[in-house]
Amino acid sequence: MFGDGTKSLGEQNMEGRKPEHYIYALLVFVAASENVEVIEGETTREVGTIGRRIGN
Amino acid sequence: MKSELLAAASVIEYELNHAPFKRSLDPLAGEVVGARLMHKLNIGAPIAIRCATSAEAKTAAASGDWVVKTFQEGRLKFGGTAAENVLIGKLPGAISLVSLRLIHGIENSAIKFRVEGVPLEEQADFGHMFRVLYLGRQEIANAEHFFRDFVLPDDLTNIKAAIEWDSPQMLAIHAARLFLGCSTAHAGNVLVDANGKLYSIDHEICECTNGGELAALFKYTKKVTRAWRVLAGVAALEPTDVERLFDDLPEQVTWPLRSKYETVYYFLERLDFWKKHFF
Repeated sequence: MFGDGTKSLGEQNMEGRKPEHYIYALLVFVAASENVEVIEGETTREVGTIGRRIGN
Repeated sequence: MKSELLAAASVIEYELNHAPFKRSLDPLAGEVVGARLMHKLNIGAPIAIRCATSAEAKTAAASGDWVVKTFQEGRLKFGGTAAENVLIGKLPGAISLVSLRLIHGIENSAIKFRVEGVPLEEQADFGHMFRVLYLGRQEIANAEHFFRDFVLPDDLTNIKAAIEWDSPQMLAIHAARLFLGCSTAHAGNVLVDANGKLYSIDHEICECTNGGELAALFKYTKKVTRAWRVLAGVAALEPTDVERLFDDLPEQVTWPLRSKYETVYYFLERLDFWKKHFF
């Protein structure tokens, strides 16, 4: 997506974070752009329950 | 709504699992660039960041005015001192959201990741994100000492509004950290002061990606919403603003993208991508 800038990174042997690292922030934007109402949860309020394990 | 979130999560997870994630900034450079970006976007962030010897770090730690991080195995970690250390100036009167909950019992809401049908007490073990975002990581004893200058106001209106998962300030922090490829703004990475101003901290992990997370951001965030409008902050940056984030950073530090020049260029490409998809 950004030219070939990422191709050299494999040579660096520096492991990065797994994708779930970014998923929370992305879902915040998805949820916020839906203008959803916050639902009372069990111990904290939740916007939505993802019915599966993220990043499994 | 749940099904839409689930669908988005599934697709995002699939797409990101097929994207390379590698560190793009030296940890110290990440701290500096991250804080500068936040300031540029009018987001609270550390002001003083500097290197220190072991002796200087010990003195700084004793003063209580600095957070001391040490270089260990190419990363910046909390605890102790080493030959090379980084001092992060303490943000006066601010407290992390984790400690706000642990010490004062005030918590924000968040999107929870959990498996339907599994009791809540068992959810804490299923995923790293849940533990970090909800349970927090800091020991309360240390937190009480470190955030001792935070004074809880009588009127909690501003604080409670600021720490909501979708407050304008919180969304702005998420957007800025996504632009950086920085670690998630979990409850330990966001501070709040008595006036309800949020601060983004811990920017030492910034990674190079193929842009998959930005593509997902613009693909799944609906336009003409308040969430979309928050993305205008980064979109309004000029290329020179991005270049200035790297002012004074030496050429000699570790640049996993091979050079400082290539790293700056990489972020300029991210800005260009952001602008093209926002406007």
